[in-house]
Amino acid sequence: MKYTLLLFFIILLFAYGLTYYFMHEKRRRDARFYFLFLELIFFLSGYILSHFTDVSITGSYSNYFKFFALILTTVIGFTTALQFQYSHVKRIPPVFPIILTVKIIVLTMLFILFFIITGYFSAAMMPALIFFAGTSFTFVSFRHSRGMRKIIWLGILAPPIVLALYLILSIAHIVQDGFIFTFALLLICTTAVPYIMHLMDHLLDFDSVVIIMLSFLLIMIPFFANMSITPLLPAFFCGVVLTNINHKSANRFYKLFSKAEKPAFFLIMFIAGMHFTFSIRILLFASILVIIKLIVNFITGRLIDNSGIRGLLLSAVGGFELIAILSLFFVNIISSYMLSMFIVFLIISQIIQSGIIYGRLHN
Amino acid sequence: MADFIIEIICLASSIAGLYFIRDASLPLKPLLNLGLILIITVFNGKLFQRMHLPKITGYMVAGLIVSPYSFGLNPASYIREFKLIDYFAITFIGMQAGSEMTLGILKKNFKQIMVITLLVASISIVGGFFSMLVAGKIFFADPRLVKYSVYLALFLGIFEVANSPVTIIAIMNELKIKNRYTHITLGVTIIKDFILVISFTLILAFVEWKLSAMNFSLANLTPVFIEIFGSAFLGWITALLLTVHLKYVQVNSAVVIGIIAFILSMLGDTIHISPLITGVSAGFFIENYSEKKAHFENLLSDVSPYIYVLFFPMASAVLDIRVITSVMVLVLVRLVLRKVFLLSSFYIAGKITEVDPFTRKYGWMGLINQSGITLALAILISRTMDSLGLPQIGMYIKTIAIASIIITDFYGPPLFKLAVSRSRKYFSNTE
Repeated sequence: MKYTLLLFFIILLFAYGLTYYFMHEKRRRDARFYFLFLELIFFLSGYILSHFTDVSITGSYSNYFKFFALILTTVIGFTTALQFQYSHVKRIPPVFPIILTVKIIVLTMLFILFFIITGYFSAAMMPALIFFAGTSFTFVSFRHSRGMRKIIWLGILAPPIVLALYLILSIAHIVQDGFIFTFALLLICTTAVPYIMHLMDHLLDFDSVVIIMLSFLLIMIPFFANMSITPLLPAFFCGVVLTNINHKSANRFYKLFSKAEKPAFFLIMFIAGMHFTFSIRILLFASILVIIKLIVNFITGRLIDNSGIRGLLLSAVGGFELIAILSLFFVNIISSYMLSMFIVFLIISQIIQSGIIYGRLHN
Repeated sequence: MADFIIEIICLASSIAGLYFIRDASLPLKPLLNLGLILIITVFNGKLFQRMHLPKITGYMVAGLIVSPYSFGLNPASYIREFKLIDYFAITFIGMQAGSEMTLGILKKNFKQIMVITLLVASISIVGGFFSMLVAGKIFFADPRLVKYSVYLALFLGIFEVANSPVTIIAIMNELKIKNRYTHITLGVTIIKDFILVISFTLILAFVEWKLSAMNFSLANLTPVFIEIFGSAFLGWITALLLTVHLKYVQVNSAVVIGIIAFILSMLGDTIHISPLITGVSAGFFIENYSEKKAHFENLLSDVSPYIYVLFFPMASAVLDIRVITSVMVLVLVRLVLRKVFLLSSFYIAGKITEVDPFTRKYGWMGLINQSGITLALAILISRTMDSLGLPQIGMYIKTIAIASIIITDFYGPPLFKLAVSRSRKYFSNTE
């Protein structure tokens, strides 16, 4: 098993290096296709590793993969949240409420439809959530700041809303006495963390502050997981509070963590591939959701500025949604079936969006 | 004062947190423990810095606090899982050590380094052997061991050569001082490690031959030479790959170095190469033959604080502090003699070649700390003795090694820090 893992790490390292090398030789606007290619390579490697070799996701390394995935997802969530400054929210154009309204209407309709079909709250919620997954912050965008400016008016509230919906799912999944009280208490403690970090900034050097921040993120994971709540939620919450009380510190964190953002995302794709199970039903179901999403996005785009293409351009599903789904999976809120469906949905959406962009760029 | 109180409160709360949750049943609890261990480590390091002691000593003390063998704050299984950091740390630290070996500076101090190294190695091995032969007969806790005192003395003699480059690098980075003294100390340590590996393999093969019925053959020594030269060659390949990456890819270099370090350590497990020697070799070639050395050095110094804060506490958390009492007297005798051997080596070196007065006086302070490599050798001995049906020898050697490491971990780094701090006045920084 060690030899196999070793071989795969070496292959992936080469793939990573070669892809980046060729990417630099080409025009930068083609970068997203190289990233998509690399995402697929990592994803397929994870899939091949766990399904066709002696490496087992339930074996002796399973804990390491789980911890590693949860740490990565929590840190990525925290990094995403560092961009959510209140001043940006004030700049949302008027069209955003229209888009949000349309999405919520469609989400509600989907939820009702699946609830009628399945009869289960959580089973109905998942497809609706998958559909809702928006274009918030696509991690593979080559110029992150440019991506931020372009789509902020659509994506700024998507992650918090997604998280709120996941929270509802968690509550539906496990309803117990004292849940609300315990959750509120945990959320208060989570809110205290950025203020503690603000204090630490004066006491310790930056490297130590980073380590303390990461420690707090690690500490939060088991407490929220115990309540079947994704640890992404406290990490995200923490990031939002921190960036709004200590912008300078948040910027330093963001500058540091964003350097590891892309490799972290590739590793997430690798781990997602390891836990992926394929079936025709999954492909069919995900495809139907993609088609529905494309139609709705097209119509929304037409409503805003008569450009259906603009709506289609925002069809891709962001990395944030993937890590949210993965974090739900690793705390046993959703099954590998749901995870696999979402991954297929993500891949198809990314391919379609990349195809549309490629077509526009080269015509 | 307020800062100090806050630091104490944070440290105490984290330790209390570990205590209160030790019996709690939570999913993913190792992550919770890891988070608290990191907080304890950071604040302990800060407190030790306030006392003008090295941060890494604080990290190691933190490891002893959170060790399952001291106050039982963490289960042993968690510490074993966290030791995964070794896969990154050892190669990475080797790269740092190698990147300090600038050819120009080595050439300038080559004679001194070689003379000191050969003297320290020979006096330590010979002196260590004879002193342990005598002391062992008096102080061995288990009378059955007296029969094997020659072999035990051989092993304990070779341990005298062991010295940790990791601690030296960490302190040099903390103080940001590089001068002739630090270059000589690091050079001596690294070359001594080569001598150690070769001598240890020869001695282990000899003892195995004497205690078993097997025929001795030079072929038994082949693996060690493959390990050394294979590791050095792999280090050269790694240096080439890293240079290509730094030149043509240029992004996410810290992550790539981390992954390469991980791969090399896994290779160490599978094809028996030494990740430390590979890292040293890679760092050496990049430092001396690559145009990207400045970039590489910056990367290493950016990442090192995060590596140290995980590596050092975990390295000491696996040590069983309770074993010290059973071998205390023998260990203290060894440590006193260690200082005598080192001082005499530097004294004789000063007579033979031009060693500056500062290095002659303070050189021994950098060679006290034993740490990881001693434990690794002890484990190898233990496994060999187990296979020969003599587990008591292996157990005893491991116990002495652990006790020596624990004690030298306490006073070795502070002594070296003191010497390096004083060297700033004596030498001007060369970089």
